[in-house]
Amino acid sequence: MEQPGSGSIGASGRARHVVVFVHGRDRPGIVAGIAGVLARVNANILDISQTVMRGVFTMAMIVDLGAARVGVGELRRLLEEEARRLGVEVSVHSIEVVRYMERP
Amino acid sequence: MGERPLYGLGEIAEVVEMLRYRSLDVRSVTLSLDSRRCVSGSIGDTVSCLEELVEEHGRVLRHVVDRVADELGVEVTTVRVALSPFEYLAAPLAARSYDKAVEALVEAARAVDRAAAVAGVDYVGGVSAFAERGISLAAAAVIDSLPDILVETERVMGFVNAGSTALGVSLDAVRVSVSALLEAVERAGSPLPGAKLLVTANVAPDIPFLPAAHHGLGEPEAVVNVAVSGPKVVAEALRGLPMEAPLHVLAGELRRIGFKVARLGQLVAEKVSQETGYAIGSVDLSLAPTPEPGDSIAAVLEAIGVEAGAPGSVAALALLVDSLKRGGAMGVCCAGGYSGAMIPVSEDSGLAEAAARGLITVYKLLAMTSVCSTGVDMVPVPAEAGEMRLSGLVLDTLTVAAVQGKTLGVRLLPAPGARPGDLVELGGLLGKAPVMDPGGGRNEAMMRRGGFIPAPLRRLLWG
Repeated sequence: MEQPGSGSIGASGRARHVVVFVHGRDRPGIVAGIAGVLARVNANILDISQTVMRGVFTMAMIVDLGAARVGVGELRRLLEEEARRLGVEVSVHSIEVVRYMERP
Repeated sequence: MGERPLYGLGEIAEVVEMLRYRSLDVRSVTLSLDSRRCVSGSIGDTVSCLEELVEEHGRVLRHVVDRVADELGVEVTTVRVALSPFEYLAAPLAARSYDKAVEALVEAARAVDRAAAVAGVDYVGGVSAFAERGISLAAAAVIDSLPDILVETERVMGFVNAGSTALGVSLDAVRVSVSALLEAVERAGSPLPGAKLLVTANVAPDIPFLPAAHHGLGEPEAVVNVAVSGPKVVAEALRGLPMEAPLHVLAGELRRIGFKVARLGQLVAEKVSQETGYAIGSVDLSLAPTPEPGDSIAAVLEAIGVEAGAPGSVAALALLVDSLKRGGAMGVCCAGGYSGAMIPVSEDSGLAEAAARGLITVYKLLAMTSVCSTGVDMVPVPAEAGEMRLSGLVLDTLTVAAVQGKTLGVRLLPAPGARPGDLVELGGLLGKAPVMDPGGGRNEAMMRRGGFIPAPLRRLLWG
């Protein structure tokens, strides 16, 4: 299996593995809402870490865009729209940013 | 080998927090281009060659930087192009007609300004000359073209390297540079032209920051240099430590953060280089503030525990810069440029405030810059202080650079009709700051002597 973070730019030049980070006031439906957007664009979730502390929801996903219908930029725009609806904040970065800064 | 574990929530959260909530960004991607191909005896050819060069490469750079920024989810604040010093262009023209050469440089700068706007390049550097031991005809033409260029163009910047450890410091070059600056601000009726001119010593060939950025000798044809930002990241990291943590523990945390900040610069440099085909150059490890509250070198000093300008500031700044360099140097291929900490008064809201309170003075800045590079930067002064006093300040700074083997510069913002304490608003990233007193006392007899200070003894260590 190809490992997340090992060469996340495909032949097309598009980042394939991205991190999706969501946080904000906890409420029902955040995971479903975010995952729903990912499913609609055929993005594949490789990993999820999620926790709630003192009512603050925090989630990090690693997502494979290899077969997705959108690139990072378009995914970010779709997720930001969904995050506004959910009242949370979302950040989308190529996984390389995390790899370079945290696991050189 | 086992499968590499996925990234933890803590790791991802740290990165997102730095990028999203602590203003970590890439200050600049600067494409340094050898523009000596545009050197010609024909003014028309020179101008059109430069215009085409900046537009063609500027478009590629802007396109790729936007794409990389979008992919990575990292903000790149400015895109810049650095050209070979204009004195190369001036040389063949000035030999025939000096006045025509000056006109040609102004025309070339206007063309570059247009091309940059068309291509979406924020700033272009290279209206530059080297005059450390004396002023060549070509360097003189560049200096004489400065008032027109500084007043008439928006995106074009340059420097006069009037000192070096190798050759000494030219008082003559300092004086004509200051004189050109004063003429520009008088004509503009504003200190803004000063933001685009630096008088430097030991200017480095790979600086991504303007106005010092230029295509230096020894560089490949086209090379990408990157500047990171991040005072807020550093200040917040320090605030996360206990108040009783000793200085050497702070140094460790600064190394850790410096490494991460530098890695972001390295990633962007690699991506832009891969996608454009331009060589990868240097990552400048300098912390560069913005006027945004908290994104400030003064805020970092306060997080260490000293108000900017209070006794202890120089030591705190030295601790900061040295630690960030240690961490950052390990994270990048090639550290370069200034790799210090920027202390531009108007661009750093905390420094500007400290200046307004009288904690930061011009000569305290000079003491601070002796441990951090960059120099006396973005300092509003009264234009009426005049050529002699302002030249004396520049001469002092450049001489520190030459003697200590540092890369320093002076970027003054002479404000016509203003007095110390008056607030100067520059707008945008240039910020605002009070007019500062450049220092009193008579120096005319020394300044009128002209000449140069010979290369310092440090130079002889090379032999």
